[in-house]
Amino acid sequence: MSEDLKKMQRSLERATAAKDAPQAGLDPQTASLREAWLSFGQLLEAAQPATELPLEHWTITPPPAQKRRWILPVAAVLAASLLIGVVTTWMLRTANQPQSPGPAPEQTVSTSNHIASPTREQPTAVPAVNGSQWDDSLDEQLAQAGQQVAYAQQDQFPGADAFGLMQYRIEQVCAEVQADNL
Amino acid sequence: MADRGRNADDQQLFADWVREHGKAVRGFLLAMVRRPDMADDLTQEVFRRAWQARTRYREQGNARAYLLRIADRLACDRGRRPETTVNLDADGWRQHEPADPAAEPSRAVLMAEETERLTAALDRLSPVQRRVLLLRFYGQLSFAEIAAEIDCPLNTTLSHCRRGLETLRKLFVEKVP
Repeated sequence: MSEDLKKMQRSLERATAAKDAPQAGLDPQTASLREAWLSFGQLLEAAQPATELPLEHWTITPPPAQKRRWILPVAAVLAASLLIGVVTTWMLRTANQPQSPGPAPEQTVSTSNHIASPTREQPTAVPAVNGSQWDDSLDEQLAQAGQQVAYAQQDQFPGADAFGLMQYRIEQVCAEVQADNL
Repeated sequence: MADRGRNADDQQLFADWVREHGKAVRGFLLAMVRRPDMADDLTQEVFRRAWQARTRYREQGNARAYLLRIADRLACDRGRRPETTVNLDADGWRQHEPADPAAEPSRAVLMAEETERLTAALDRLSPVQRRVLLLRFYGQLSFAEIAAEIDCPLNTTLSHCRRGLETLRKLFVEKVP
């Protein structure tokens, strides 16, 4: 801070000091500013109401937000629990369901034939192209083999990474709720 | 048990604030907004906000400065908001205000003159000069604190104060109309 600025600050502090502060030793410039300041202060005090404000009769009531402060953490914990339940159920169901194979090539061919057919015969009446029937058990075996290959590649339960990450984040949220950081 | 004790302490603190600083806060707001009804509303709002944020105050210290900072922000917010109320003119007020049987006519005339002089003085000050001088008068805030409150550098704040005082000097000491 420059010397001039310090000097001006000291002068203004003395000029605008409370009315009972000592006034001796003021330079003429500061003294005239102080005179104006005291006149201003008198007017401000005169503008105050003569009677006391009814402030003593104010009642203190805690704000509504404080009364319901517990709602937010409880709601957060409930939401987190619900989320955990839903995600776990979904993952378990997904893991237990065998992957559904796509339509057999012969069936696709026969369907396209069926659409192209102007006579619109019933699908069951359409014979196989080469006469051989599609074996459903073969489908299931292929699906199971594909799933096992996928498990072997991941070397763990599918989706475990996502589940672990989600669980970690939910635990973080719970910790923040308990620490009242939200 | 501890909560109840702390609540009692808080209530005592609040009562002390109202008793010691209520008039200063109300005076500051009246000079800022120039309407007694609005000043009363804002005064209550200041104490309501101060009560809500009393835990923050405990880290700060000076109660009057804390309350005046809230008052200053409220008055500035109110000034920025578009006017949604209708003001009665003087005749309207006379019709709605009950006559004060205890008021002496001479006292009423004196009050009217002083109010007129104060209004003239406040009108001559720029809004920022008014804030600086009123925060200094009612809160005895240091110039550094005022600079922080009005978000100005210290030297600018000092300049505002000096120019405001010079305006008041012209009005009250040199009696320039």
